[in-house]
Amino acid sequence: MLTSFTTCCCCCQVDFLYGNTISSWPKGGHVLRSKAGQLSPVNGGSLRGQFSPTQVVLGLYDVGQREERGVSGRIAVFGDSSFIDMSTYAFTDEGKYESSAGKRELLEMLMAFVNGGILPMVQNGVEELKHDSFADKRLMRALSATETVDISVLKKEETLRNAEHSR
Amino acid sequence: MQLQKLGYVVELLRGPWTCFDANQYGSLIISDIEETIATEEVNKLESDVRDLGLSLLVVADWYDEMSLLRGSFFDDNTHSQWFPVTGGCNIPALNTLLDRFGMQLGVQAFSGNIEITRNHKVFHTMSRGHYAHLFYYMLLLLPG
Repeated sequence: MLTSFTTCCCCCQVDFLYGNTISSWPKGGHVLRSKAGQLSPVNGGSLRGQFSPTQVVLGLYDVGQREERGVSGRIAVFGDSSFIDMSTYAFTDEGKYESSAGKRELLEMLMAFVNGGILPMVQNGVEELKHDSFADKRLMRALSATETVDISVLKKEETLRNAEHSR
Repeated sequence: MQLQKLGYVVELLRGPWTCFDANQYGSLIISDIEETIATEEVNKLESDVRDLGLSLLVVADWYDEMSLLRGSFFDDNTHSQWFPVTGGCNIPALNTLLDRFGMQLGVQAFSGNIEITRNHKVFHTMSRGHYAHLFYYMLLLLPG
């Protein structure tokens, strides 16, 4: 049964404090991209090339629906944990920690999807990957190489970066 | 606490992912993992998601190779260079799980803010009759 309804529409800002974005997401899933200029790479990025101005910050995937297995679960991925981190909440006059509206909204949205299959609407920026999967190779490392950081490669990148800067 | 306010029943999982019965829970919340994940855990979670209907909410944090490199230091006691084992979250380990479903998180950290709009539609009805969730090392949710 497919039911749809709309609730109130209001915009909230959510901090993305030092988090990682999604580099690969399967076809049939839904993603939310940041708008141009909203996110900037920490440390000015690396030498892997220029990053896309819009990054995929949130991914939603219904395993059961996409793989035609009715009992399968859903997966939601968000690359920054500050929205559930109490240390980022405001301390109120009543002596309580309170999260911002945006953080509450994000948590509710994620929980609504994983538990109830409720998907944010397309006009909110969440787009469906209908025809192709998403992959940004500049953000990816081969899985075999990701178990440990290859220090020598990083050192080379750092040296090249410093040379670029001094020029 | 936020989840309890929303009406969820939360339980902490204080062991590996192989040590819970996914039939009893609706979702697993994996938050900020810093340790490595055993292959047995990945296999079990994949099976829980695909066959038992367990849902996953994965919340990661920063992992930036350049920041890791800059965090290295020379240790006088051992006379060797020490490197951070991982960042705020062990994204390479997390990617071994996500990769089973064709997903990956990037290895470059970003900072800024994003916009969330409140506006929902029902995607489809729930496949399970109860709400349940769990945080890695932090929470498991029981039928509410």
